[in-house]
Amino acid sequence: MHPKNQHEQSILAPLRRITKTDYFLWAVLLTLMLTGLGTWVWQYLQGLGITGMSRPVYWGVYITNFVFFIGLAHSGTFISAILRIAGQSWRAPLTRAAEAITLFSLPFGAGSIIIDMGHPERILNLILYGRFQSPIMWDVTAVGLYMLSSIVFFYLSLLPDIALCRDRLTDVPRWQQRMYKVLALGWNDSPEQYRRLEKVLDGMAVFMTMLVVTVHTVVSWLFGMTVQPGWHTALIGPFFLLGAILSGTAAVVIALAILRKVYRLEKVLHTGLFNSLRKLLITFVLGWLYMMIAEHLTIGYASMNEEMTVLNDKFTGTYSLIFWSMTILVFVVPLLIFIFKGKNNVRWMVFASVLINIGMWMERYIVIIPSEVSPRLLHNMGQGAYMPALPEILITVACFAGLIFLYALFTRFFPIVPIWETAEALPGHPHTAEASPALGPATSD
Amino acid sequence: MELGELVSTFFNNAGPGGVVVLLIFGGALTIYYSLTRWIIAGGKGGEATTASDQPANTDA
Repeated sequence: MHPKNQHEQSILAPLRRITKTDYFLWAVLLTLMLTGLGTWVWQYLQGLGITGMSRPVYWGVYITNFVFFIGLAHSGTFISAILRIAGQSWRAPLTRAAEAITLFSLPFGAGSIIIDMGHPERILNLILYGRFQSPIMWDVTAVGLYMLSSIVFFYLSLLPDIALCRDRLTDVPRWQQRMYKVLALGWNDSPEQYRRLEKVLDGMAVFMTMLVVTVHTVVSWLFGMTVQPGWHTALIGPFFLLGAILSGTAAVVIALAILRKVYRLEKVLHTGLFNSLRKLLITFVLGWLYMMIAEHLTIGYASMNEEMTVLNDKFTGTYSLIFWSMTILVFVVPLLIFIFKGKNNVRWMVFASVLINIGMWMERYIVIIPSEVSPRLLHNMGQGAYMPALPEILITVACFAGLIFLYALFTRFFPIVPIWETAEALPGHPHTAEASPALGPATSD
Repeated sequence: MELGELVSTFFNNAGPGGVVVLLIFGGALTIYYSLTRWIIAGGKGGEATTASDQPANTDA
């Protein structure tokens, strides 16, 4: 017996039919991805000299993408694991949509490091000659373990729904049916399986929460453990983490809005979810502002020469346009929207979330580039300059296209709303819709 | 070899770090594989447990 869910048919509907629009979208995204792949081969053959990077700027857009994608990946764990531990049952309908962002952005985050290395085979040196003295080793360990754990966490929570697809979707192509059969691992909806699954997911949620904090802190330590101006601060860990959760949660809003519109899931992904996310986003935006002020005030008050060169570059110099645009996009406009327009209004929420993500990408850029252009040993290293070159732009576009492609593909073959987690009754455990607030009306604000 | 020397050797030499990374990934894979098998094995008993054995709801 499968879980009883009144929305089962509407959740499964997108899986029954692939439209021409889907094929068109996939073709466009694949073209962009192939262009990026071709550019990467070109870069491999020609060397990193074809990018905008040159001494002393060794990390450009690729590392910006790395930090941004890892940040996006925090959405799934935050929504799924942290809110699970906190007992926030309203999160149930959006957990899978959030976890999928984690799953599909992590490869592009980790991949950006490999792209930045120029020669991907050099990754083997980390295993052959790895030493834990280097923060890069901490990063590889944390990101790798996070990726592995996210896959398992995602797959386990998907298992009952794959089994449901196996039994319900008998009108889909044979290869698709076979795929469900293999991936379901013989799941038979026994109450004991559900009990064990809940137990493991609860345990993993605690572990994932520790991992998510570790991962972005370690990512920030790639910068923080150097003595470069603008990077060498103890605040960089929590600052990066908060920014990651902010951009990740904003990405969830965008994904949910698209899914409910395209797949007509308005009843399942109701406005109340957006209102709850709105409250979280207000908190994160204010937290981010606090970090910004604390960070820059401390540096500015000390007035150390090397630090002030970078700070002035951001406030009034070469990077001032990006810096102040970023502040407006991440803080000013979204906060005004959340307070005055966002309540019960999905469109305004999406608009603010898009601005936040554009702004957060700029924030990652502004953290990395100015410090490299004016390094601490300026007299030895020389003043740098950086402007992203065409290969970097094409590869960046390909990475974003890849993320959207994998996400779009997934939503056509697997239920994007967890059917068993939003069910009124599980096998062997009847519980009513009233006991499952995830299915409640849009009154969570 | 003193403990301090051992720690220093671990951090300062090329090689041990890679072994540790492999051990961490290998250990995690083994644990996750075992957990997955344990969950699936819950369905082999056949008979359903009573409702009181079930979690209160689908949340932690």
